[in-house]
Amino acid sequence: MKCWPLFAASAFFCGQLKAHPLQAEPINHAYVFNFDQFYLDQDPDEHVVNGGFLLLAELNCTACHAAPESWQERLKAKPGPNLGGVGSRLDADTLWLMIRSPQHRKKGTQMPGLFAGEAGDEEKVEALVEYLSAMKWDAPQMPAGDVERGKELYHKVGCVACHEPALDVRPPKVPADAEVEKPGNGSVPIALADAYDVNALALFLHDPLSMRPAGRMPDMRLSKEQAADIAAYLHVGRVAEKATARAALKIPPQGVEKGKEVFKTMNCAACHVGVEPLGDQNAPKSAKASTPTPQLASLKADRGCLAEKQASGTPRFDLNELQKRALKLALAVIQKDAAPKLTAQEKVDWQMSRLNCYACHDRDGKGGPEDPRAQFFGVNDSTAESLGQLAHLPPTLDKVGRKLTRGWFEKILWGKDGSVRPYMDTRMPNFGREQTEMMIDWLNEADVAEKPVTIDVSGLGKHHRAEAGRQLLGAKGLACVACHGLKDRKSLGPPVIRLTHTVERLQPEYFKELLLNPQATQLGTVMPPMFVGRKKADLEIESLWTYLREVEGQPLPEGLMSSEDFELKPGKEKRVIIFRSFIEGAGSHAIGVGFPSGVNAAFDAKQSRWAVIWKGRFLDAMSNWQDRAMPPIKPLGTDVKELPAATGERVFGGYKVGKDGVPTFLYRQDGQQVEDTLRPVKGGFERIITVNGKQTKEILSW
Amino acid sequence: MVVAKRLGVLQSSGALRGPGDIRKRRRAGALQNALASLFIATAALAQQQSDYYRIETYELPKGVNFEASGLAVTAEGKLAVGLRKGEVWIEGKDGFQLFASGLHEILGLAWHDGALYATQRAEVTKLRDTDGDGKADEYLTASTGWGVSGAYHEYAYGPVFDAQGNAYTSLNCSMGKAWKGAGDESTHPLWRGWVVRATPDGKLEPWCAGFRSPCGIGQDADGEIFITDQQGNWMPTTPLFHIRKGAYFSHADSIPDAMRPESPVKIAAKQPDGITVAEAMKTVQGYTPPAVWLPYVKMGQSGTGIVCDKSGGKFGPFEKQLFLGEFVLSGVNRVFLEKVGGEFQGACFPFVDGLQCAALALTTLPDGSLVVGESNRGWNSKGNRPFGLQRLVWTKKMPLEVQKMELLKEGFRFTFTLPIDKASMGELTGQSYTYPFQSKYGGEELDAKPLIIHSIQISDDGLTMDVLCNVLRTGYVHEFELPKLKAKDGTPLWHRMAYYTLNRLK
Repeated sequence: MKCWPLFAASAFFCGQLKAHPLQAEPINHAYVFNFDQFYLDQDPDEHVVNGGFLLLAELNCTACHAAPESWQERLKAKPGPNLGGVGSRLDADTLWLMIRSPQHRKKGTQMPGLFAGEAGDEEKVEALVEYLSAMKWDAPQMPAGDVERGKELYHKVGCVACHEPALDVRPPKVPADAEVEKPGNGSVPIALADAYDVNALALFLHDPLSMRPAGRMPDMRLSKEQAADIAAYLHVGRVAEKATARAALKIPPQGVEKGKEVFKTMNCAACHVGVEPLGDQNAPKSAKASTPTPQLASLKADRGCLAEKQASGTPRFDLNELQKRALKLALAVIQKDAAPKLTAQEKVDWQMSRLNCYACHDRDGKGGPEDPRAQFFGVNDSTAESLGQLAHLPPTLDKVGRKLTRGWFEKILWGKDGSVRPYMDTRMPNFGREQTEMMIDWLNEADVAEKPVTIDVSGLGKHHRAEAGRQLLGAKGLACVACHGLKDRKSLGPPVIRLTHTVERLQPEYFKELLLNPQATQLGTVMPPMFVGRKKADLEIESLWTYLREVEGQPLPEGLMSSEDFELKPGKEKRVIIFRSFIEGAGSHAIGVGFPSGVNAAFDAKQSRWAVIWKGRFLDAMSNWQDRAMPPIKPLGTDVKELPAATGERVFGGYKVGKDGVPTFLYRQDGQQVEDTLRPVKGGFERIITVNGKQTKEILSW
Repeated sequence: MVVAKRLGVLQSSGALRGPGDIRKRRRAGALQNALASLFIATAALAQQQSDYYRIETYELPKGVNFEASGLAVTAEGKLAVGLRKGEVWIEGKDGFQLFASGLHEILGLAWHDGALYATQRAEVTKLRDTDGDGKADEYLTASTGWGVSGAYHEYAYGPVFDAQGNAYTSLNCSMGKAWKGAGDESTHPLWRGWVVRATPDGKLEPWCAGFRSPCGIGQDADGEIFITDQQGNWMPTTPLFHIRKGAYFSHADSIPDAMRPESPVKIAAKQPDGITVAEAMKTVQGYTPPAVWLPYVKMGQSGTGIVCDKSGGKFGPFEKQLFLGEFVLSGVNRVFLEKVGGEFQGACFPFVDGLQCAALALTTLPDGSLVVGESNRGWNSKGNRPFGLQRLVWTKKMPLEVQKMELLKEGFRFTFTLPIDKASMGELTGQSYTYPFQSKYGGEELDAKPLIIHSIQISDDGLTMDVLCNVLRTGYVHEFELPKLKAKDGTPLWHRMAYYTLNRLK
């Protein structure tokens, strides 16, 4: 993956040194990951202007400064943190520091400072603190976390794609004597972890979208235990900062009502949600504030947060010079022109930038984790190592719009069970439906194939028998099972994606495109071009599709299948199993009887006689249960003994099953009614024959 | 694009394969066009279908390959399901309960005289629970004695019982390799391609012959037995046969057994190959044509289970008509029968499609719904689930359909389920064609000619329409495409195609 040029902002080391190893170098400007990643001082204006658009949207400028209509969709603000219950998550001192001076309390925050210390500001801040402190919730109790497990998880599940890796953690593959390369790009700060109580932090990590609906911190699909472990790790050694300045001010209580009023007049609800009814996201934002904010179109490029020296009373973002330049460029365009119509690919790129999909994914050569971060992504299955970075890094998104079905996009983007790479430690996070749903159509449009591939998936062709596909997949066919597992079975080799959900997951045309030319279709794939030169490739691919479509209830391909799958096991089930089939030694009217003690027999219902007895394993039901043709089966065990032919004229009548599950066979022999039962005894069977009510017994031992 | 693709497949898979040596072939182009319009119409039909019939999918026991290949209803009205893997499940309060297991490929299930009867490869077995624990403890032989060589195609279906308690089983002809382990039967399995019956005391009697793969066996409201067979050698498309003792239905593999002294079938030892069905009706000794042909692709590709609607109107306006499962297209077709010259003949109509899997077995429940047992193991079907169980429930909304299609001296009388609006009358077209009588696999429509329609008379009440046309031909299917008729209440005609098999003139 790419290694982006060193982060060139004016970072400097200051403030208190904290004990936590995750403390990245502080960032002294409102941090937007993808801005810092993709825009540099030396870049030309025509590139930097796009960074300005990104900042306008990501810093929520448009939440207060309405954009001209043609720009509104693109520059739409994101919902800010949900403040419901914030009084239970953050103590009053932290709230005070965060409101009074956000850039001081949380370096790199995107929250603007609204209070420069003018008259009345201290009272307003205090009032807001009171108001927000009163917002309590009943937090559910999370399990106790484990710091070591949390440390391991934090580094391997993908947190470090955006956040800082710890100095004391060595990626698994870095030799002991080599220096661990540090990320070149800045890290998203984790600066409030010390102020949250550990339970609230665990809750946040378990379900970040409920507190931060914008999805910029996505839901990593952590279990409660995992969330608690990471929370414990992030919390270790942290000491919450005391607001000494607040104590010194000795501002008297202002009352919650005043706080509510300030919240309204300062237009906090333009960004924050969860403080109903003020946080109504659907209402026009600027209208709510007591003093309407000017529209984007009328802003001056040398005023407010863009001014060289910012006047007090204007929101303070601590923008750096590059950010100011970008914003000015963007404002100039917006004030001059209507928004250009973006192509589908441009829209995809825009949303991927906003959500920072590029932190993990590469698409058309852009993005992907830089090597110092990528080296932490792990695998949990050593057989996956042979796949190289395919095994531990999230997949490239080239052509994904024609690859995945809508249903699967939904599972991946905001649903569940979309993961097909269990060997990979990292996981695709949930960014929230609101943030991602629109991308499906854009991707579909952006990735339309230039030369459409056609495939017949009607299932009506002669070659559309699932069995034909099964044989191709099998070890004696194209041996797809060498790398691909299926259902609960691993492949014979590396754990490449299991084919279980292929038809739900892939668009059939892409499936064919991929099989016909894997390397051209999926850059970097290790899939061999199995169909090159195969005359019947079209038909064969359709057969594969049919099998995969009907895979539920179908036998597995050869290689993945073992006779264990359908073996009848009287011993394991602790019951007598009766099973009719074509059984070698007992003919086409055979009835097998397997006893839990490990002796078995087969009755020939045509000749009305016990035909064969054996020890050990009983029978394999696969022929009966899975095959179209039902080929004959063999006794699986040992000591197979054929019994002598029947005497007299016999007519079969059926069997009765006793309470103990043992069958008694009924037949007429030379006109007399016979009951014939085998019961296991030491060394074999006792055979009990009743003719016209008269019972005789014999021992069959062998 | 989809249509074009499908057509391509159908062509390459042999659906349009012609006999070559027989007369006029229909131009492939014409059939393609017919098929194209057929597929395009499907979407609109689906919407109408759900207005009239609701498809309900049963919840099935987890972890069981519920290949529902035999259906029966117990005296208590409970649904019993035979599975291809050899189990019988009965619907109880908490879903299906296992009743019997270990049987050899159940392809039919019946309730008769207080017991369930399951047809296995080699036997019809009477299953009873004598101790009331909900599990069968008696597996008694009710019918056996036909040959089983182990060849893959030796399926057995049934049973159905007549009023005297005789059990009828239909047997596939033997295809593929026999198994040496089957002993004598590996050289000649008896009565393959026959229907056999067992008397109540267990005596097996050969009954009628000439079947290929008689997958559906069922009865009309009067207990007459009908059979569906599968397209292949000697079967140009799915037929619906009315079976009688000694009748012969064209598949030559059963001829050798007809030469046995105990055979009730009296036919010649050799039959012509490569004539038409219409000719065979005149020249082949003992040949009984099907009461109805279901034209290939147009009406599906593989007829299966048969059930008669005896619900007294609870299933809609088709009382006493037959419903036929359709494997490949995963649906159900409808058949109207009448007796002409003492023999059954009649028409078939598309009914319901879009099931989740191949329809294999049909039955009706006391509430008037129609249950479809599904499994497509080993073959392909449009419904892509490998197995399942669904039922069709009439929504009580009356569709406009051709309820009956009866033969007149010079044409046909269509009777509708609702009075039609004469103003909606438009162009009505028809053609007739026959099929080959041949050992080659399948066969296309032969000697097709348009019907010259010279009079259309709609009755004052709008319920019947007499269509007089030239030329009616015996041994031919008479196919009609009705105009986009509307009922007086505006309901559009649901299905516009009707196919009448004319064996005898009035």
